[in-house]
Amino acid sequence: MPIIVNLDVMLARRKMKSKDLAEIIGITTANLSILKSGKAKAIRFSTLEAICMALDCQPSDLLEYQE
Amino acid sequence: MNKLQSILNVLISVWIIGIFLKLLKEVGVLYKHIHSRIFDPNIISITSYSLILVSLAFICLLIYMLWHLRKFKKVVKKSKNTSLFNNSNHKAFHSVGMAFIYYTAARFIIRIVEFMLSNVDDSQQSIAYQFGRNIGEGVSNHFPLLIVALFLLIIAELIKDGYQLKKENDLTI
Repeated sequence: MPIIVNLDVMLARRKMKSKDLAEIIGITTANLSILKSGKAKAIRFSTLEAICMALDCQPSDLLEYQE
Repeated sequence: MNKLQSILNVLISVWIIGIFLKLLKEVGVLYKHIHSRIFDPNIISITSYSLILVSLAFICLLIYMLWHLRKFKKVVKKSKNTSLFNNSNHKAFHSVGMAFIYYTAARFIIRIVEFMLSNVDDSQQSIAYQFGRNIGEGVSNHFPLLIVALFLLIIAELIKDGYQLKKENDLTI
Protein backbone atom coordinates (compact mmCIF):
# COMPACT_ATOMS: atom_id res chain seq x y z
CA MET A 1 0.00 0.00 0.00
CA PRO A 2 1.44 3.42 -0.89
CA ILE A 3 0.32 4.93 2.46
CA ILE A 4 3.09 4.46 5.00
CA VAL A 5 2.39 4.66 8.74
CA ASN A 6 5.31 6.30 10.54
CA LEU A 7 4.05 5.50 14.00
CA ASP A 8 7.24 3.72 15.10
CA VAL A 9 9.29 6.80 14.05
CA MET A 10 7.09 9.11 16.13
CA LEU A 11 7.21 6.69 19.07
CA ALA A 12 11.02 6.70 18.91
CA ARG A 13 11.10 10.52 18.72
CA ARG A 14 8.83 10.81 21.76
CA LYS A 15 10.69 7.96 23.51
CA MET A 16 7.43 6.22 24.21
CA LYS A 17 6.73 2.48 24.24
CA SER A 18 3.96 0.91 22.13
CA LYS A 19 2.40 -0.58 25.25
CA ASP A 20 2.14 2.86 26.90
CA LEU A 21 0.63 4.43 23.78
CA ALA A 22 -1.90 1.60 23.49
CA GLU A 23 -2.92 2.18 27.10
CA ILE A 24 -3.27 5.97 26.63
CA ILE A 25 -5.38 5.78 23.45
CA GLY A 26 -7.39 2.79 24.65
CA ILE A 27 -6.67 0.14 22.00
CA THR A 28 -5.02 -3.24 22.34
CA THR A 29 -1.32 -3.72 21.65
CA ALA A 30 -2.27 -6.23 18.95
CA ASN A 31 -4.26 -3.57 17.10
CA LEU A 32 -1.45 -1.05 17.53
CA SER A 33 0.94 -3.62 16.09
CA ILE A 34 -1.37 -4.07 13.06
CA LEU A 35 -1.33 -0.29 12.59
CA LYS A 36 2.46 -0.09 12.94
CA SER A 37 3.12 -2.94 10.53
CA GLY A 38 0.93 -1.38 7.82
CA LYS A 39 -1.51 -4.32 7.74
CA ALA A 40 -4.45 -2.10 8.73
CA LYS A 41 -7.06 -1.42 6.02
CA ALA A 42 -8.33 1.80 7.60
CA ILE A 43 -7.94 4.05 10.62
CA ARG A 44 -10.79 5.77 12.48
CA PHE A 45 -10.63 9.55 12.94
CA SER A 46 -11.13 8.99 16.68
CA THR A 47 -8.04 6.72 16.83
CA LEU A 48 -5.99 9.15 14.76
CA GLU A 49 -7.08 12.02 17.00
CA ALA A 50 -6.13 10.05 20.13
CA ILE A 51 -2.69 9.15 18.71
CA CYS A 52 -2.03 12.77 17.65
CA MET A 53 -3.05 13.95 21.12
CA ALA A 54 -0.86 11.36 22.91
CA LEU A 55 2.21 11.96 20.71
CA ASP A 56 1.61 15.70 20.31
CA CYS A 57 1.90 15.60 16.54
CA GLN A 58 -0.06 16.14 13.31
CA PRO A 59 -1.68 13.39 11.18
CA SER A 60 0.86 14.22 8.45
CA ASP A 61 3.63 13.21 10.88
CA LEU A 62 2.08 9.75 11.13
CA LEU A 63 0.93 9.12 7.56
CA GLU A 64 2.96 9.45 4.41
CA TYR A 65 2.17 8.80 0.74
CA GLN A 66 4.84 7.01 -1.30
CA GLU A 67 4.54 6.10 -5.01
CA MET B 1 -29.82 -17.08 15.33
CA ASN B 2 -28.87 -20.06 17.52
CA LYS B 3 -32.51 -21.18 17.64
CA LEU B 4 -32.83 -20.96 13.86
CA GLN B 5 -29.61 -22.92 13.43
CA SER B 6 -30.90 -25.62 15.79
CA ILE B 7 -34.15 -25.91 13.79
CA LEU B 8 -32.16 -26.07 10.54
CA ASN B 9 -29.94 -28.74 12.06
CA VAL B 10 -32.98 -30.86 13.00
CA LEU B 11 -34.53 -30.41 9.54
CA ILE B 12 -31.31 -31.45 7.82
CA SER B 13 -31.14 -34.52 10.09
CA VAL B 14 -34.70 -35.45 9.07
CA TRP B 15 -33.75 -34.92 5.43
CA ILE B 16 -30.68 -37.18 5.84
CA ILE B 17 -32.86 -39.90 7.42
CA GLY B 18 -35.36 -39.55 4.55
CA ILE B 19 -32.64 -39.93 1.94
CA PHE B 20 -31.17 -42.89 3.83
CA LEU B 21 -34.59 -44.62 3.80
CA LYS B 22 -34.92 -43.84 0.08
CA LEU B 23 -31.47 -45.37 -0.41
CA LEU B 24 -32.58 -48.58 1.36
CA LYS B 25 -35.74 -48.70 -0.79
CA GLU B 26 -33.67 -48.24 -3.95
CA VAL B 27 -31.30 -51.03 -2.89
CA GLY B 28 -34.43 -53.23 -2.56
CA VAL B 29 -35.55 -52.21 -6.06
CA LEU B 30 -32.09 -53.01 -7.43
CA TYR B 31 -32.18 -56.40 -5.75
CA LYS B 32 -35.62 -57.03 -7.31
CA HIS B 33 -34.33 -56.12 -10.78
CA ILE B 34 -31.25 -58.34 -10.42
CA HIS B 35 -33.36 -61.20 -9.04
CA SER B 36 -35.87 -61.02 -11.92
CA ARG B 37 -33.00 -60.72 -14.42
CA ILE B 38 -31.50 -63.97 -13.15
CA PHE B 39 -34.61 -66.06 -12.49
CA ASP B 40 -37.24 -64.77 -14.97
CA PRO B 41 -36.55 -66.22 -18.46
CA ASN B 42 -39.31 -64.13 -20.15
CA ILE B 43 -37.83 -60.76 -19.27
CA ILE B 44 -36.56 -58.48 -22.06
CA SER B 45 -32.77 -58.36 -21.71
CA ILE B 46 -32.09 -54.72 -22.73
CA THR B 47 -34.89 -53.29 -20.57
CA SER B 48 -33.75 -55.35 -17.59
CA TYR B 49 -30.14 -54.15 -17.91
CA SER B 50 -31.32 -50.57 -18.34
CA LEU B 51 -33.44 -50.77 -15.18
CA ILE B 52 -30.46 -52.13 -13.21
CA LEU B 53 -28.27 -49.31 -14.52
CA VAL B 54 -30.92 -46.70 -13.67
CA SER B 55 -31.18 -48.11 -10.12
CA LEU B 56 -27.41 -48.07 -9.73
CA ALA B 57 -27.21 -44.48 -10.99
CA PHE B 58 -29.94 -43.44 -8.55
CA ILE B 59 -28.16 -45.15 -5.63
CA CYS B 60 -24.92 -43.31 -6.52
CA LEU B 61 -26.86 -40.05 -6.69
CA LEU B 62 -28.42 -40.65 -3.25
CA ILE B 63 -25.00 -41.41 -1.73
CA TYR B 64 -23.63 -38.21 -3.30
CA MET B 65 -26.55 -36.25 -1.81
CA LEU B 66 -26.10 -37.88 1.62
CA TRP B 67 -22.40 -36.93 1.63
CA HIS B 68 -23.18 -33.29 0.81
CA LEU B 69 -25.99 -33.05 3.37
CA ARG B 70 -23.69 -34.43 6.07
CA LYS B 71 -21.09 -31.81 5.13
CA PHE B 72 -23.77 -29.11 5.26
CA LYS B 73 -24.94 -30.33 8.67
CA LYS B 74 -21.38 -30.11 10.01
CA VAL B 75 -21.12 -26.50 8.78
CA VAL B 76 -24.43 -25.51 10.41
CA LYS B 77 -23.36 -27.17 13.67
CA LYS B 78 -19.91 -25.53 13.62
CA SER B 79 -21.19 -22.04 12.81
CA LYS B 80 -23.19 -22.06 16.09
CA ASN B 81 -20.02 -21.27 18.02
CA THR B 82 -18.16 -19.15 15.49
CA SER B 83 -19.08 -16.37 13.09
CA LEU B 84 -21.07 -17.40 10.02
CA PHE B 85 -18.93 -15.14 7.84
CA ASN B 86 -15.88 -17.19 7.01
CA ASN B 87 -14.36 -18.65 3.89
CA SER B 88 -15.06 -22.31 4.72
CA ASN B 89 -18.79 -21.57 5.17
CA HIS B 90 -18.86 -19.82 1.79
CA LYS B 91 -17.25 -22.87 0.16
CA ALA B 92 -19.59 -25.29 1.95
CA PHE B 93 -22.79 -23.40 1.01
CA HIS B 94 -21.58 -23.05 -2.58
CA SER B 95 -20.71 -26.73 -2.93
CA VAL B 96 -24.03 -27.85 -1.39
CA GLY B 97 -25.95 -25.46 -3.69
CA MET B 98 -24.15 -26.82 -6.74
CA ALA B 99 -24.70 -30.40 -5.49
CA PHE B 100 -28.46 -29.75 -5.25
CA ILE B 101 -28.49 -28.45 -8.84
CA TYR B 102 -26.56 -31.50 -10.11
CA TYR B 103 -28.83 -33.81 -8.08
CA THR B 104 -31.98 -32.18 -9.47
CA ALA B 105 -30.75 -32.38 -13.07
CA ALA B 106 -29.53 -35.98 -12.73
CA ARG B 107 -32.69 -37.08 -10.88
CA PHE B 108 -34.84 -35.47 -13.58
CA ILE B 109 -33.03 -37.38 -16.34
CA ILE B 110 -33.12 -40.67 -14.38
CA ARG B 111 -36.85 -40.24 -13.74
CA ILE B 112 -37.61 -39.74 -17.43
CA VAL B 113 -35.53 -42.80 -18.39
CA GLU B 114 -37.20 -44.80 -15.61
CA PHE B 115 -40.71 -43.83 -16.81
CA MET B 116 -39.87 -44.59 -20.42
CA LEU B 117 -38.55 -48.03 -19.51
CA SER B 118 -41.41 -48.96 -17.19
CA ASN B 119 -44.21 -47.74 -19.53
CA VAL B 120 -42.75 -49.15 -22.71
CA ASP B 121 -45.48 -51.79 -23.10
CA ASP B 122 -48.39 -49.55 -22.07
CA SER B 123 -50.45 -49.30 -25.26
CA GLN B 124 -53.34 -47.30 -23.74
CA GLN B 125 -51.51 -43.98 -24.04
CA SER B 126 -49.37 -42.52 -26.78
CA ILE B 127 -45.60 -42.17 -26.27
CA ALA B 128 -45.81 -38.39 -26.74
CA TYR B 129 -48.45 -38.14 -23.99
CA GLN B 130 -46.39 -40.28 -21.60
CA PHE B 131 -43.24 -38.28 -22.34
CA GLY B 132 -45.03 -34.98 -21.72
CA ARG B 133 -46.57 -36.28 -18.49
CA ASN B 134 -43.21 -37.55 -17.25
CA ILE B 135 -41.50 -34.24 -17.95
CA GLY B 136 -44.34 -32.41 -16.16
CA GLU B 137 -44.08 -34.68 -13.13
CA GLY B 138 -40.31 -34.43 -13.09
CA VAL B 139 -40.33 -30.62 -13.19
CA SER B 140 -43.04 -30.26 -10.53
CA ASN B 141 -41.32 -32.76 -8.19
CA HIS B 142 -37.85 -31.24 -8.38
CA PHE B 143 -38.58 -27.54 -8.84
CA PRO B 144 -38.60 -26.73 -5.06
CA LEU B 145 -35.14 -28.30 -4.63
CA LEU B 146 -33.84 -26.18 -7.50
CA ILE B 147 -35.16 -23.04 -5.78
CA VAL B 148 -33.49 -24.13 -2.50
CA ALA B 149 -30.24 -24.67 -4.43
CA LEU B 150 -30.41 -21.17 -5.91
CA PHE B 151 -31.10 -19.70 -2.45
CA LEU B 152 -28.07 -21.58 -1.10
CA LEU B 153 -25.91 -20.13 -3.88
CA ILE B 154 -27.21 -16.63 -3.08
CA ILE B 155 -26.47 -17.19 0.65
CA ALA B 156 -22.97 -18.39 -0.31
CA GLU B 157 -22.38 -15.12 -2.17
CA LEU B 158 -23.74 -13.14 0.82
CA ILE B 159 -21.39 -15.01 3.16
CA LYS B 160 -18.49 -14.22 0.81
CA ASP B 161 -19.38 -10.49 0.81
CA GLY B 162 -19.93 -10.57 4.60
CA TYR B 163 -16.53 -12.19 5.06
CA GLN B 164 -14.84 -9.42 3.05
CA LEU B 165 -16.65 -6.75 5.10
CA LYS B 166 -15.78 -8.49 8.36
CA LYS B 167 -12.12 -8.73 7.35
CA GLU B 168 -12.08 -5.03 6.50
CA ASN B 169 -13.83 -4.16 9.77
CA ASP B 170 -11.38 -6.26 11.76
CA LEU B 171 -8.47 -4.42 10.16
CA THR B 172 -9.93 -0.97 10.86
CA ILE B 173 -8.16 0.42 13.91
